Amino acid sequence: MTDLLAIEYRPFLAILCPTIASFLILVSGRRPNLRESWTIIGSALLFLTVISMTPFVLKEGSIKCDLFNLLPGVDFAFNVDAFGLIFATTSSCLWILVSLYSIGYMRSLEEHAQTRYYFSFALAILGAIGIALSANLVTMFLFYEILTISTYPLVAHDETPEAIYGGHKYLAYLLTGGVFFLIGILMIYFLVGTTDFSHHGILKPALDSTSKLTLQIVFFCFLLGFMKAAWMPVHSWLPTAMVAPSPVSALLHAVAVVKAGVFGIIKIVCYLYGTDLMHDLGLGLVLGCIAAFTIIVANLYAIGQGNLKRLLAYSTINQLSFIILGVAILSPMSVTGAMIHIPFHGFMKITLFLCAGAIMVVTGKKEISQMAGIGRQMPITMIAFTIAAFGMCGAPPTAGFISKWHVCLGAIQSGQMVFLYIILIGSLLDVVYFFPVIRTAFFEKMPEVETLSGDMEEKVQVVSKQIQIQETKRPLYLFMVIPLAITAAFSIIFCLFPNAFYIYDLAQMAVKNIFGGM
Amino acid sequence: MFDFILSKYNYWIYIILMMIGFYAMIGKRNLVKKIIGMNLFQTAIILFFVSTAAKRGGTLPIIEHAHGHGAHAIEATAYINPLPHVLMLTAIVVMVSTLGVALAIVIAIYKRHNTLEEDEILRQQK
Amino acid sequence: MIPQSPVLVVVIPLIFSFLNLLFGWFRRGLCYPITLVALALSFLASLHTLNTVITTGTIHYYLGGWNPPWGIEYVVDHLNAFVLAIISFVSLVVGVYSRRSVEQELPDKTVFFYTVFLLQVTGLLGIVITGDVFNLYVFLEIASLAGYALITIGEDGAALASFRYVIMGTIGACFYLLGVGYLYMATGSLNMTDLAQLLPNLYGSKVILVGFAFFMLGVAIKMALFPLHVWLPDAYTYAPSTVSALLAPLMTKVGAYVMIRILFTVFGPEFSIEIFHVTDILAWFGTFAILFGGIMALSQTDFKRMVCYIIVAEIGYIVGGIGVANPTAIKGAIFHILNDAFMTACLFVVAGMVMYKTKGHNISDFRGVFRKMPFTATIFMVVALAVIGVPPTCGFFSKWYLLLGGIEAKHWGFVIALLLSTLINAALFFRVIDKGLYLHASEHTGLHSEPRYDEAPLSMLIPGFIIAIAIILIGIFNQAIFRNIIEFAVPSGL
Repeated sequence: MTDLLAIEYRPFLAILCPTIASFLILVSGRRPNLRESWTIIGSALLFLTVISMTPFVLKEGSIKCDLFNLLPGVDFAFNVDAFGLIFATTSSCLWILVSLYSIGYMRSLEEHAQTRYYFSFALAILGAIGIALSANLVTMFLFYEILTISTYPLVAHDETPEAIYGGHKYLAYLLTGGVFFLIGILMIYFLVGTTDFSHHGILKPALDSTSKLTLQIVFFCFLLGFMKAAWMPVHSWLPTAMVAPSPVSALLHAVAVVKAGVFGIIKIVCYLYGTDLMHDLGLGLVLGCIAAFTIIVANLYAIGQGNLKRLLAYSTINQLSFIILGVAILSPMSVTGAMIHIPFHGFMKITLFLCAGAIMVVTGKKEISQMAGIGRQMPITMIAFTIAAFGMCGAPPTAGFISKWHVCLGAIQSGQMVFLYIILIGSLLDVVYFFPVIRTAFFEKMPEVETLSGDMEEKVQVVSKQIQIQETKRPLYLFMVIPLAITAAFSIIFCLFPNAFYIYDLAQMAVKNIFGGM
Repeated sequence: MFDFILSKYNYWIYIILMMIGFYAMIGKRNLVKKIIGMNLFQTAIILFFVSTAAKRGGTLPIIEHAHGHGAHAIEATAYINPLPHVLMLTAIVVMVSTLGVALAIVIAIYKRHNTLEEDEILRQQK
Repeated sequence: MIPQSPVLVVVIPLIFSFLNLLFGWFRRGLCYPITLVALALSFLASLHTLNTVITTGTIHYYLGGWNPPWGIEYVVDHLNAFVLAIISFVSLVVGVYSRRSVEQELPDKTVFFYTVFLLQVTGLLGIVITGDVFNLYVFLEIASLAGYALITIGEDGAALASFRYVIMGTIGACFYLLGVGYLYMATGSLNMTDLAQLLPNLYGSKVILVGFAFFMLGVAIKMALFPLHVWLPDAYTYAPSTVSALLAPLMTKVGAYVMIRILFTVFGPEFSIEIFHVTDILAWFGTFAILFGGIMALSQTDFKRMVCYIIVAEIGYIVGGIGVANPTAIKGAIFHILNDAFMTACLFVVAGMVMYKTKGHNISDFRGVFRKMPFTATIFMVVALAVIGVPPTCGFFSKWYLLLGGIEAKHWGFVIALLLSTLINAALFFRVIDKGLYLHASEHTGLHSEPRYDEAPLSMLIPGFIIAIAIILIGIFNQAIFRNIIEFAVPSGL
């Protein structure tokens, strides 16, 4: 038994946690409290397992866990390295918080099919952790498909025609991406006979046997394969997927699914192609242009949005391309910034989505125009929202500032000033669309008393309801408010202590390995 | 040219028979006519095979002596080839069983649809 | 090491089918156990044969002690033994599954059903094991005739479908017979190994070429290769559930096996690939079959019909793999014979379970299946993921080899068709999953109450689970199968 806890098997344990939890959730469907406790226990165990691997990885470099042979030259194997741990830590920590939030959300709304929801959620986290810890492309593909398929029932959860349409569009985009990913994997296997990730990239030998054009085309196959990263023009599944319940949008479409896409792109750039080869093929510039285009256009789209969740969706698209841009610049500082933006943005964006969900549950409002004066009814929520919005814009003292600072420095260091300007313009546009939300929430008055109908008593009731704090009315609401307060607090904590959860150390170590000890 | 047709007249006859049967199987609409076509086709193939066994001046492949006599040398070229005949015995059995199954199916169809014309049946099924 | 195990595999179902008829006359309840005993014994014999082949190499068994090329010889090499094991395993599982389904759909024909069932299995096993081309014809016809009879007793429309199958199948078998005849006329031999030695001298002869063409056409009809697949959708849709579950996975795969034998063992790779470029044509037919099957399947509303078109596409995978004709692709095609047999069997088993409960096999009968029949739904999810090609199910690994083979041969049409087929299959299965999973969709509100838990009987569930678990295990442990069997089954000379 103690052997099982040995460090070599820790990755396998990490995978087992969500798997067993999902199975237990499925069989305890009749007893909601038991079912929810499986989720909480599973997520806590997962987080502990992941964190426990971190000191070892910081010292030794990586943990290898080879399970069995899948294909000649390809094993079902895990390789826990610094970068993977960043993503794994983010997902596992946020799973705990979002699960608590889900309890409040689902039970307040008395949603149907909750067992299916929690089951699919656990499987989705399994996919995310598997992607984070995988040692080669085929293992990553396995968990990639698990992620796509398990999130489909979550997107179409409401089962209204819009939800089912959103689910179908989601599936169409992501499964097509999966097919492109597969063809990329096959080409890599055909060219070099292996699909393992390695610090300096594995494709250098391929240059002898094939043309640069082939490698560039394969890179585009991979890029299309990672449609999960929502780069334009294959981004439109993400705003449509906002029909999902808010916890789904929060964890999956702000953290797990989209970050898996970005994680994949970074892995391809740094661990498959390697920074030297990327320079040689000129792909860094192309990737940077795509990312830059997405940043600007997504922000422009966001300015016109009236639905809060759609606005947040476009903001997510913008921030994801910011991460891609950081990688495309191919300098140590910018890649560090991109890597730390994965957890930082995760926490901040989750706060925003959890707030949007809380607003919908407590007051039923989805459009920004309806949310006048809501800061008075839900002060904690809106303060958290404000903090996270500052983080999106990259203002201190939020975590977003640290990552934006790194990427900008990296851009300056490598001399690509155009990208620096793009980032600054993007941040400016962020302010343009977040500020009105905050202003509407805090500084606008509620609809005037005279415009209300009904007699005096009713009017008094309505007015007094308007200035009462709603968010703590029911104890269930606390399940929602406390997690989002925690994530907002973390947004600030990460700024002051970037090394919380070892994030900064891990990023430094990963970058050092990628750039060959610079 | 004529020599080509005349010297292989057996093959030509059987192939024409085969094609008639093939046409009947596909072109006719009555189910029983299709079965007749199928039978023609298979019989033609069997006759085709058997004709390959024939030899000019060859005799029946039966060795004429009672059981228990010592074996004596046989001149194989004097006898016609018995193997295709044997194979075709099996093929005839197959043909007959196929005929039986096909007719049984047609009876079932007739019981259900009361007609044996394929287009009628398809119309009834719509 | 029982030396008779090759012939026992075929003879046991044959004898037991007659025993079935005899004992079933007195007591109907005896049919099912007798059938199971026969199939189990045959399965054990085939496993023993496979083991013998893996450990000692090709088995040559002379029927009746007559030496080839005068006697009939059974040649069991790796490819043979592999397909033999697949057939006996699938028929055993379907046999176990058959009981409730036959009780419900064919209550007064049980005895005849099981008798003909065993004859069908005999025929299929015989086709695979024999090393003599005429003997193959005989077993081919045994299997086909049994198939015609089994399909006829299905639901409304089955008789006509079976009649059309009779016509097309007889054309196919007769073409095969003509092929045998032409080869015999030119070489004087009927034994496959003997032909392989005699034919290379005759590669220039027109007689051989015509014989080859007849062989290919006959096998293509039996195998339902596009565009000669027309009999398949009707026949397998209207047949009883058990019959579909037995015939659909096995009949077409046996045809694929015969094609591999003729292309590479009897005629040799030199003939098929280099001299006449037949494999190039086959690769394109495979590609079109994949696309055609996928597109037709998208427009179906009947679940069994949809699966039939998926079968047409899967045959396209195998034939395309054979057509690409490099070792990787052929390994993929042989592995896909195994995978497709299991996946198709599982799909029809699921269809049968749904039909048992809802008396229909339309996609709309799947409504609420995830809540009504959760175990059936789980099995269905597993096989759906396998057909789509999601790891770690077996479907992914055969796709991997086929795609890799296509890339190596630069046959981009085949590669693109395979990838498109993945997406089309995803669309097909998610349509059914939607129906099963989502109950609260607005078009259904107020129509029915919440479905109650009403699972299929255990004798149907357990075989389904066995196949589903096998699908996953074959995927995970595919390298064991490749290293021990398939590497050796690839025809030499490629």
